[in-house]
Amino acid sequence: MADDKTDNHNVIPIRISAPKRATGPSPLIQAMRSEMAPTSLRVARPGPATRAPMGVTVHGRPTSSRLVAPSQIITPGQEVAPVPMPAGSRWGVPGAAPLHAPLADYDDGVPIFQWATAGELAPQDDAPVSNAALINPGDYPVMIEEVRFNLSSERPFVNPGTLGVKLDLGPFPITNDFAHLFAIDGVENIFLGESNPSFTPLVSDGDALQSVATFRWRPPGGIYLPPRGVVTSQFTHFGLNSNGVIADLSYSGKQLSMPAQRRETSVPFVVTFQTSGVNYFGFDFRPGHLRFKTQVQSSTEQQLWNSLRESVNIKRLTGRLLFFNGNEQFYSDENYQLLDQCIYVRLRTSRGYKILKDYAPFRLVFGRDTRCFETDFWLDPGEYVIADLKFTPGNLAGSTANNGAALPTAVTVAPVIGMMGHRSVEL
Amino acid sequence: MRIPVHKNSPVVLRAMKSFKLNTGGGITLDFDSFQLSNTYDTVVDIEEFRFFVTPNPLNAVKYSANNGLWTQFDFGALFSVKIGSTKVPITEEFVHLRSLAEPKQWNLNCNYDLSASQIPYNSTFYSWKLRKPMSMRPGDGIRASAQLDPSVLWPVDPSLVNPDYDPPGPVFTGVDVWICAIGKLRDEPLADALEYPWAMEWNPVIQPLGGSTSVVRAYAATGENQFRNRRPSDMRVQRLVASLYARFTPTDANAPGATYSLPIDVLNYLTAAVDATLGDSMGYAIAAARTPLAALVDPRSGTWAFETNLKYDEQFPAEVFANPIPAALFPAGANVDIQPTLFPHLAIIGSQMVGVPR
Repeated sequence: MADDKTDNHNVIPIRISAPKRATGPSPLIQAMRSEMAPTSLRVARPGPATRAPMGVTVHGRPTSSRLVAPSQIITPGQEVAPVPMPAGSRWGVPGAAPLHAPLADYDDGVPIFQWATAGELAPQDDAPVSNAALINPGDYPVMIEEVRFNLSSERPFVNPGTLGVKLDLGPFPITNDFAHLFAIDGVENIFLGESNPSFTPLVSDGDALQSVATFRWRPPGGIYLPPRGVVTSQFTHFGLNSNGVIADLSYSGKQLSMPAQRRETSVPFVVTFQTSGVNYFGFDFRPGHLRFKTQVQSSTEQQLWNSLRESVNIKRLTGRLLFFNGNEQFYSDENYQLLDQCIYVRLRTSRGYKILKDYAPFRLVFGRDTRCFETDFWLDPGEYVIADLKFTPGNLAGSTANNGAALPTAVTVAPVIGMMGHRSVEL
Repeated sequence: MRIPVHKNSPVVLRAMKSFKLNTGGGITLDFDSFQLSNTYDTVVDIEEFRFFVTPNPLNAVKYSANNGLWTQFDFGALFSVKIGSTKVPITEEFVHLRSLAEPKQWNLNCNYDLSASQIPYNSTFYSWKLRKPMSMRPGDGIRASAQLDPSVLWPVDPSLVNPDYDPPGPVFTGVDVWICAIGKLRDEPLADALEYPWAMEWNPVIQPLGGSTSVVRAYAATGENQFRNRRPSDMRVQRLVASLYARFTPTDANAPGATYSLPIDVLNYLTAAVDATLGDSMGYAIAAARTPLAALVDPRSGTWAFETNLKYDEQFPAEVFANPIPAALFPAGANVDIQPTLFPHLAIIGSQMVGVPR
C-alpha cells in the first residue's frame, strides 16, 4: 500500500468502459474473442495528456506534461480507438516492452546526430566533452532517443567498466556523480551483437588502434533538449588499469516540428555502484582444499540513492560483472559464465522494503539476456536502495579443476549495479 | 510492523532445487511454495518468470569439451517445469524451459556460437515474459515443480552419469535449477476476469529407421489429450514454439567423449530432419502439407507467433515425420548406419481467462 507521499504520484488509469453486470461475458473475454482489442478506451479521470498501449496504466506526476505530440493528446473523458497490437507483440505488457523500442510518439521530425570527443583519458583523468559540438543548433526542440559512447584504445582490451560519465541537462543532473558506462543501460540480444558489446577487438594491420567499444543508452521517454540546449558531459577514467582510452559521445534523435512551448519535461536519472574487486584466482577449489572465504559487500546509503529534490520513477535496475586480471586486461560478462553461480545479490530499500528478500544468483536477477530487470517504482528524495552482494565459492567448490585448470585468466570480479529512471522538472 | 512500500514496489520471488544427475532421469522436485508466495498485504502482479540452470560443481559440464561438433548444450531440453498459481494451472503437465523462453534468446539459451576453445560453462538462463501480468492475491502463491527428463535425451554422456569417468575424482555431478518470478505490487483493484499465462507441450519421440540412405519415414501424431484445451475457458494461443534434439549412436560406445546425444537445439542444423503438419478440431488445416519444422517456425527463434482461440475441448492435431539424415550431417564418432532418434519439442504458449472469486 502506498503511503501519503507516494499517493501524490498521479496514476492515470486507462480503463475499459465499465461493463453492465450479468449481460454476458466480461469485456476482457469479449475483447479476447474479438481481435484481442476492446472496442473503446476511456481516460478515467483528468490528468496529464498521454497515450499508452492498450490496457496499460500510465504513471506520471500530476503536474507533468507527458511527452506527446499535439495530435496524440487525449482529453479527459474522450473516447479513443484502441492501439492495435500486432500478433506476437509484447507492447501491451507493462514493463515488458523491448528495451530499445522506438519512441513511437516521435515518428515525425527531422533526424539529428551530434558527436563530440573528450580526447584520450589517462588513468584517473577527468575530461569534459565539448559543449559546442553537442548543442541543439536549431530553433526547435530535439528529442534525444539514443546516447552513444564510443571508446577506443591502443591496447587490446577496452571496456566500458574503465570509464564513468557525468551528464547534466542544463541545471538538471542526469547522473549523480560519475556513472559507470557499463551499467547505465541493459542490453538486448547480446549474443547477436545487437547492442552494447562490451568490447569489439579490432584487428589492425600495424595501426595503433587495437580495440573499440560502443555502448549505447536509450533512456525511457527520451531526453527533451530545448533550442540551444546542451547535454553537458564529462568522462572519468577510474584508473583500474594504465591504458589510455579515447572517449567520444554522440546522441541521435529527432528535431520536433512543434515550437518550444514546454514548461515541464521528463529528465532521466542514473546512479551506479561498483563493489571492490573480489579475487577468485589462486584458490584450490578441490574437495578438502577450499580456502576461499565467502564475503559480502553492500552499497551505502549514498550510492544507489535519489540525490535529487524530486521523486524519481525507477524504470530499470541493471547488473553487470566486470572481470579483470593482473595483466590489465578486462573481460566483459558477455559470453562469460564462469562465476554465474558464485555471486548472489539481495535488494532492499531505505524504507525497509525488501525487493529481493533472500539471496539469488546475480545472473538470475539481472538476467543473462538483458542484464537488468524492469521496475516502475518511485524513490522519494533521499531514499535509496541497498544491494548486498555475496561472493561464494559457488559451483567452483568441489571442482577438481583447480588453480587455472578451470579458471581462465579473468578471475577478479567487480559487480556493477545501476539504477535508472526519470523525473519531472520545470524548465 | 507494516513496512511502507513504494508505489509499484518491485517484487522478486525465487526458489531453487538441486538435482543429482548420477541418479538418473525422471526425477521431479517441488520448489518451496512459501518462497514463491505473495506474503504482502496487497496483490502482486507477476510479469516475468525466469529460470536459471547451472551445473554444480563446475566439472559437471566438462564432458562437453569432448564433443567435437557441438561444444554446448541446452539445459532447457533436459529440464521441464510444471507451474500453477494457487488456484489456476499455468502449464499442462511439464513444459521444457526451452519452450517457455522468449524466442529471441535462441542463441543465448543454446550458447551455440561459442567457440570450442572456450571452456564451456553451461549455466543457462531462460526468460518467459508474460503478455499480461499474472495477479496473485495476498496469500496466494506459485506452485512449481521441475523435472529431469525421464528418458528423452537421457543419459547424455558417461561423464555425466559416472563420476569416475572423466574427469576422475570424488565428485558428484549435479545441477541447480532456479525459478524466479518478477513483478510488482499492484495498487489497483482486480478486474472480474484476469488473463493468466498458459502453456502446453507435445514431446514425440521418433525412433530410428535404418541407416543414412533409408527412405523410410518415421511418424508420430498427437494423442487424445495432447494440444487439447481441457480448461473451462477459451485459450488464447499466441505462439508455437519448436525445437529439435537428436540422439546418435556412437561407432564406439566406449570411446571417451563418444556422442550419445545432442541435447542442443539442432533445428537450424538438421533443417530437413523433421516435417510437421498442424490442424484444428474443425478440420481446418493450419499447416496442411508436410512442412519442415525449420520452416514452420522462424528458424532463428524457433517460434511462430500467431493469434487464435482454442475453445474448450478443441485440439490442434499435429503430426511429425522424420526424414533420413544424410551421413555428411552426422557428428564425428556417430554410426552413420543408424539413424538418430529425434526429439521434436513442440509447445503452444498463450493465455487463459480466469475469474476472480470475490
